[in-house]
Amino acid sequence: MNSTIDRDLLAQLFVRPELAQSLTLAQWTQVLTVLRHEKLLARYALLLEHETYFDALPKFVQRHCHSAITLAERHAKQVHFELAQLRDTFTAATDTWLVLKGSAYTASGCSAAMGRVYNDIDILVDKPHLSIVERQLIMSGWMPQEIDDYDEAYYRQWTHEIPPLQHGYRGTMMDLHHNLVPPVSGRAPDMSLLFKHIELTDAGIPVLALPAMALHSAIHLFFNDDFSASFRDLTDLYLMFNDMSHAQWETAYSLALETGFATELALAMHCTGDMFQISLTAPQLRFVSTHTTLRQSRWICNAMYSTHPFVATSSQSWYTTYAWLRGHILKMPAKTLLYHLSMKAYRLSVERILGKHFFTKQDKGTDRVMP
Amino acid sequence: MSNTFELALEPFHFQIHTDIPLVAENLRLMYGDRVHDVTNQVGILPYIDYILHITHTNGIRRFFRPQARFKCDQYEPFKPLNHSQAFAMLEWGMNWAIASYEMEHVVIHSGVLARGDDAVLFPAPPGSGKSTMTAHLAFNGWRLLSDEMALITPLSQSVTPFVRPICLKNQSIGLAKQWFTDAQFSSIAKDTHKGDVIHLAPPIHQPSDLCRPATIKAIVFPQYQRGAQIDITELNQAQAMYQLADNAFNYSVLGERGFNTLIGVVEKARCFQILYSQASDVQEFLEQEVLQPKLVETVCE
Repeated sequence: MNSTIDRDLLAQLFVRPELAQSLTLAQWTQVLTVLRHEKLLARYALLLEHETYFDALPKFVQRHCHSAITLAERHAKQVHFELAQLRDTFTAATDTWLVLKGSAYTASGCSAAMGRVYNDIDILVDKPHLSIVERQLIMSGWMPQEIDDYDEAYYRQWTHEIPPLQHGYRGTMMDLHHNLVPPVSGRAPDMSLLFKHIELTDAGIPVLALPAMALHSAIHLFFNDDFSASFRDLTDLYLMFNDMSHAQWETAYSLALETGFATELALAMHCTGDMFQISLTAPQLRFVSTHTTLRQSRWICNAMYSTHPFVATSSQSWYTTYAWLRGHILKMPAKTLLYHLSMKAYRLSVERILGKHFFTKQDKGTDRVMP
Repeated sequence: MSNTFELALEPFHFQIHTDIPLVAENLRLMYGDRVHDVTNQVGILPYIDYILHITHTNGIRRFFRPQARFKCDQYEPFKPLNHSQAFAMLEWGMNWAIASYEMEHVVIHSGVLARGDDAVLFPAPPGSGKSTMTAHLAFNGWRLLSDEMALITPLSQSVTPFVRPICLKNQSIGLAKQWFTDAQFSSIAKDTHKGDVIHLAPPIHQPSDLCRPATIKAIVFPQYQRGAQIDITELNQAQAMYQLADNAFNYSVLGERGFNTLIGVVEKARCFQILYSQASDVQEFLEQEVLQPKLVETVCE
């Protein structure tokens, strides 16, 4: 299928939703496909839903929009439910815990909650209470996932989280963290700096206040090697940045400096400005130019766009590889990185030769195939 | 060499990319003039709902016990299967896409057949003889709306056709081949998680059959038992509701709307549990005792 859309059109849909009126049916087919792939269909649908022109859009577009909104509503309901269940388990085990990322956006009701869908719930506890919380969770039905030995060791030794947990009945996935970034990177911040920014939602769920939440979103995206959801994450940042007052920006700047993540915040500001074609204010520009170089941010920005074949540019894989390597270098010291990359390369080459699913464990049950 | 096909299976449009000749062949057998080969040319459908890929796995696995992979756009929901099962995998993949993404209908795992515009649902787990019953009725004067999924318009009794091949398993394959000598059968997918599986092309009497909704008048939970005398139990609304919800794909996602829809359906329809060995006994019961004999002819919009 030849492409009829490009990455700039895709980004502009979120700034100027009314562009919907000018899309052809062929463009809609691709826009809906890419947005579904990027987990952004519900978010865009919500931008259109109450506009006067919505009823004039093609019927199949309206159908996919309604379906995506229904699914996202279900996700949000599930998150509220899970968090209400988890609140007591966590509160009993520790005084210091908080919900992070997508589920925190939904819990707090901030603008990035709009149409947000999740693969998992992210929760952070203070490190001294990690093992007691892990035990408590297993007692209440959260089971460790079956992963291979290499990955298990990878999590335990080097990362800032434990291997994912899954609820035995409901299938919900949870990532349990004890820091924002892997301690092996040498960049793990003193978490007490962030704990000062915890606030409780109406339902009694601890989340970061907006400036700290946006900063963590930036850290999660730019101090990382996984860009599979980067376009979606950048729309999260765009929405949160839009809502921040002057005072909240000042808080974000100083927290970024205290925790040592000024570069990540600067990159997030530059990339949202660049991708969504919005101009930064004078203080924002000052912060960006102080903490990142134009060349670095240009390379990183290019890696943030959707990699879906309908919109990926021919040079995109270079930028993605660069960003992936940079992420690894940030997260791991050279010796660890060398070991990790050679293990990954070995496993990848086996898959190249013997087939993509060589390491995939076979399903014993049969339910997976038929819905 | 990869081929591209477009399938207009109202109410959904699919685009299928495949490099497996068996899939291309079965698509033509099962869908006839509803499938269009658009390889290397501009598509003919104005829009596509789902872009599907069913392809060989890469690497030397292609030559050594070759496997087929299914992807809905970029997403791979299942693990690969033996490539002889590729067409069945594509059919399940289409079901998966609808069950996962379509929330504008309450979707129930159910056969749907109609006399005129009076529909009967046959919701049942695998092994209950649902598809054998579906095939029997579809080839004996009833209108097939679906073998796999009932698409119910929320808060109504209206069910929308989604006409696709009938999926037969194990012993029923031999029976169907005896019964319907003129029908088109796909190649057999051997040793799947459901056993041996074959698809049977649906009889299509009128083009308008493909998009004219019907009204749910009865719900039958079939239970096949070899040699059994027909045994019919009328269910009360609570029993029917419970069993119907058990077979619904997206009931939990739709929440209150889904719940109210199913309540409305069981309140207006008669519900039965039927133990049977002869599908014709069930047909006779439904035609004589449950549905009023009448035929309504209207055309699609």
